[in-house]
Amino acid sequence: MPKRFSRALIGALLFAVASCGGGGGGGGSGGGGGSVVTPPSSGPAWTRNVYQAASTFENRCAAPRTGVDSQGRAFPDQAGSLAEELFWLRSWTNQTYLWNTEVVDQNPAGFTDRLAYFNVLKTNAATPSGQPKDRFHFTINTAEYLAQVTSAPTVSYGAEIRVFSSTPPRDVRVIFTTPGTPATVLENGRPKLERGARILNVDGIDLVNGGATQGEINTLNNGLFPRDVANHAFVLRYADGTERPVMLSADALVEAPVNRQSVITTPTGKVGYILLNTFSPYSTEKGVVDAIASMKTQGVSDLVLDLRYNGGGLLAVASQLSYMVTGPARTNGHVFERLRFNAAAGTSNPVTGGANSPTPYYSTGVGFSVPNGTALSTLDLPRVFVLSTSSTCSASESVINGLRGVDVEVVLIGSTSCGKPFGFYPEDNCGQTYFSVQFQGVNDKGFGDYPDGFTPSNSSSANAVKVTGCAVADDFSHDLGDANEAMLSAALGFRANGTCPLPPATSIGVARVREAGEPIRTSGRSEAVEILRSMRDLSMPRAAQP
Amino acid sequence: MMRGLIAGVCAGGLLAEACQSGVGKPEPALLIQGDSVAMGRVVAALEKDMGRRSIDLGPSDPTVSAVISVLPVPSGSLNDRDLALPTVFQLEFDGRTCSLFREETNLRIALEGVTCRAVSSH
Repeated sequence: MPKRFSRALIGALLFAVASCGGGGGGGGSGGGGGSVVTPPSSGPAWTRNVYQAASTFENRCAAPRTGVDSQGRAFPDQAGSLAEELFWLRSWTNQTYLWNTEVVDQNPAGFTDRLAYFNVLKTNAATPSGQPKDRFHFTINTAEYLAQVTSAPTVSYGAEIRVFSSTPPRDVRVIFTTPGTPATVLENGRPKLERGARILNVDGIDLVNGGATQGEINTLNNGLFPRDVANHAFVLRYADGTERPVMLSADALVEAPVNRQSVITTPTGKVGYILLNTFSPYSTEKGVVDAIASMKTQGVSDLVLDLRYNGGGLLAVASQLSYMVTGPARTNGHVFERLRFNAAAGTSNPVTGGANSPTPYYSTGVGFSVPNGTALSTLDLPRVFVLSTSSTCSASESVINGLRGVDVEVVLIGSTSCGKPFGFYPEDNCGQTYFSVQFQGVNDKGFGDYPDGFTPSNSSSANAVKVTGCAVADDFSHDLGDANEAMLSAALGFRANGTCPLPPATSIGVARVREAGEPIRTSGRSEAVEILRSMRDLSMPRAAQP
Repeated sequence: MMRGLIAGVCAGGLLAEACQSGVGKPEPALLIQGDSVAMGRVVAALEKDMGRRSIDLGPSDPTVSAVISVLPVPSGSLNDRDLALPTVFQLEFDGRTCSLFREETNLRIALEGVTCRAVSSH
């Protein structure tokens, strides 16, 4: 926990400075202590654009927690006030927020709620496309956050179910399945769930137009996004129009980062295909290392990375994957990603207090699930095909940007990526965890300005960063990894003859219809996860079935 | 008791030269036994040092590798550009005491009741 150590140290130093200057008003703070703190008799005074160190107010809580956290550490909370929580948010934002100079300083005295105050502590600027520059500002109760960050298995069918319309007529479809899970169990020779299948009925309730009562809505939600191991009855309409009932078993499953991989033989050589849906679990490191090693053994001369549903995760693993794609010749002496903090931070990381160290191209295991120091195999490719959609986000976009930073040709097939070159260090204060953009990732060339995403060069998107490739809509009528699936097919076609299929005739835009009727949940994830995801992907299925 | 005292002083980073007296320079080492008792002691020492109630070790086997990684607390899918890395320790042996050395902080944790041998001894 270097961050904790350093933050505690910085907190102590800042407190010392504040004390020397006559500021502050009590004991130390910053992650431990145990000293008795007397809350100030009157609240902190606000002076526009004058900020005390965040450590002055850290862990001074209106409702202090007692006991220990999930790691057995005593909560650092001390008796304080709402005003001190708001002043902490204000100072912490000023110290660490990437766009701190664009935040309008507002007197906390005008707020009675910490979440409402947090919501105004961000920039109101827009990206070139007109969307908010900061779409990623959110907060979550710390207990809820800790509950969902465990690596424990979660109950699932082994399929990603996406809600395109949550109100009648509802449109809920299977986006992908995970091999070897209940979803892919064969029934009459066919997997129970298939990509593109539309769910028509859940446990006897009409999903499309039913759900007249809260009880029926609950039944739909419980069947679509089960929390407990149980069986649920579905009626499905598959991509080929066939309808049938299936009984699905929800089970405790561990997410498989590498969903599938294959090698496609073409007249001009072998093309590797890897569907990587997340960089988050620690098992991702081993997953990508094994997948690349397999590609190398099979002698691929090109690689298609399917990141269309990859919302990001561990930056170190994104670096490792990039290194393994292109090898040492292009990465030696270069960095994968540098962090750009606010101007006041100088050369320091204002969150950890340490040096602002770049993420290198890791050429060995880092110890998540591959032993530290293990040499990584490399494909030594000068180019890579990346399949993207608006769900391709953050660390996934780092792969695109990082490789372009060392002159690897990235061929982008699909649609515009989400546009999140930013990151944060989740920060707890008084039982609430705040996510506030604190850094921008830039590649070895110093480029990181893609707030409207990366987009294929023939796309109509005006503000995203154009990357050589083809605009192609997501194709729900074929399985992922199928050479006939539109995005993979376009990649293979571009590789063969340098041309693209005709771009989608119309925008594959927002499909979240608001009509009368009761909405169902849009996923089994927490509200905070959905906030993030909703910023990214609302695309409509191609060739949608009625 | 004396060994514990020396180890404690060494762990505190004090009197470095004195710590070297009578023992060799710490060098990369392997656990002689990787059974549950030995691993439990390693884990307990790491938990205490890192202030965590429980830790998960990375994939290395300390009977064949001198590197031990401790996994960070997961931050989940909400952190989509996660800078987390395992904390890496090197298992070392000075001829008398097994220890874990954390290069980034230059701190050493003495391991009580754990036997190891220098990598170079094999």
